[in-house]
Amino acid sequence: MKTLIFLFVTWFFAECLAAQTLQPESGKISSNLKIAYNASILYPGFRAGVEYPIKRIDLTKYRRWRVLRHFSKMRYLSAELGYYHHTDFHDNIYLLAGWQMRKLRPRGFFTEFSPAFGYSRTFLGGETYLVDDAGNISLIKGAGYNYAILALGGGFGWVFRPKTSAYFRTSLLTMFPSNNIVYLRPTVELGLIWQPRHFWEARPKIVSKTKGKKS
Amino acid sequence: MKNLLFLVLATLSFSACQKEQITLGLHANDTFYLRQEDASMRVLVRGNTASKVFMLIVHGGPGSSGYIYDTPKIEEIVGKDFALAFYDQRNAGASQGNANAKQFDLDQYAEDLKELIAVLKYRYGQDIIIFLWSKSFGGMVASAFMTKDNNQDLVKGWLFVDASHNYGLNDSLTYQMLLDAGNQHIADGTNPDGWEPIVEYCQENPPGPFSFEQSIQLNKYGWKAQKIIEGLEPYQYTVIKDGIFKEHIPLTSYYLGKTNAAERKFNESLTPIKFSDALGKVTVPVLVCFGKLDFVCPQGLGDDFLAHIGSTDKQKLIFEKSAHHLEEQDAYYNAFREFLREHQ
Repeated sequence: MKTLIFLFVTWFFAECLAAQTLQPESGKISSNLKIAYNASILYPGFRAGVEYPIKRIDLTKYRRWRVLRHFSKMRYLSAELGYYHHTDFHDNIYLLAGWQMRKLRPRGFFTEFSPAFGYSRTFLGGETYLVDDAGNISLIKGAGYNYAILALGGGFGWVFRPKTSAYFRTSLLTMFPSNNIVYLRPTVELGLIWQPRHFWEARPKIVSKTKGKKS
Repeated sequence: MKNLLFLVLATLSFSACQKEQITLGLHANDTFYLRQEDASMRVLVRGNTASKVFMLIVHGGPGSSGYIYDTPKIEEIVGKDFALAFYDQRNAGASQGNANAKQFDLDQYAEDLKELIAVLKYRYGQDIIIFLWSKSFGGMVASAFMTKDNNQDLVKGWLFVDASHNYGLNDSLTYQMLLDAGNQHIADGTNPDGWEPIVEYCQENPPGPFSFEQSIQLNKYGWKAQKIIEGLEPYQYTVIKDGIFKEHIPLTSYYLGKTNAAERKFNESLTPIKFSDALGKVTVPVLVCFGKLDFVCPQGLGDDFLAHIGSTDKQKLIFEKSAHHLEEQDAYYNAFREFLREHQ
């Protein structure tokens, strides 16, 4: 697992360094790639995905005669693959499709909220036996369960290079139907978001809004 | 990118494959699961599996977990000489599955237990000796198991510890104990503020067949009484906190198992169940252990159990300074070890 994380991180940084060029102002915006160390509090994992831009809202807030703030709100459709390993309990791999809402401040700080829905498959953390009606015992290969999964996440981050950001996010995974109706799993993520040049470009709807009055 | 995806999928495939980890040694630490009727139940085997003698822990609840019985003391005192199998019943502890409320049934719990014994023998050898150890609600599960067909032939002995086998009797005994202790403490002027609501409740709800709601309330007052009674060795309940990291306890699963609404419905279905009369068919050696200050499963249950059990080899131990948490751990565990030694 450590080797895999190392490979991911090395590849990701190499790609980032090779792609630090500004994107032309054509109205097209590349999609984002993201990768994160995704720990289920204590138990290691990863989360990787793509964010496809749908809408950008440029917001200017005025107060009396001076400009107070500029914000950019981005809306993405996202697809993510997540995984964590909980020793002796289960391994969980899940696919999520979601709606990513990100609010970017002028100095590069951003906050985000990301509801997502998807599919989870667990693999039990120990060999699993089945006893049939005749009393025969067999090992079940890949024993585990399928669940629908709902993930609600919120976090913050910082754009530290023109096309690269770091972020932290906490999420609550809700899996169902579970033997206890739902199964809840909090996770924390520390990751990078990278916008490669000309990668799955989209023309998001751009909306400019002004709030307040300029005196 | 394709290579990367391949790497991810290959790693996940390898992690999903399980090799059988079966330890026959002095310090086993094996985890496996038993899948049965829409549930996968976790089993942790610790201790001296080389002894070929297993104490199979049937926990309380419903909805508790084998985790809470796996204390350093039990591993030190009992696990040194014998193997300990901590078993999470369906929908409890680290057990997993999809929706399976239909399978909440005491007979199903007994069937799970029977199949678990078959798997233990499959893994550790058909020659292993198994002692059943049941606590609290585990007493109901063990009674359902032991009184069915020839199931008792699968075990060498039965340790009945602060356990229940008769729901209605349990309520009546808790009621009487609360009333007696409450009146005495109030008369002595010992924490009357704590005891008065308990006594008032008992006076307002005279004995008889108690409703499920009354039963739940008596149980709550039983736990409260154990907190305020004089003379009880305080029990530091830290086993979950201490085990979060070390034992990889899945906390959300553990707590959701304890609060599962379906579990409450199942609990309600237990109210008419009593095994007193059926115990006559059980003839294996039994050890009955009760805390004198146990309000949750009072020692009168042990008396009824002994009066009805068919075994001729039976003994009862009362622990003077204990309630429902095996507070005198050294004394309890030494008693279990001696019983296993004598009967293995």
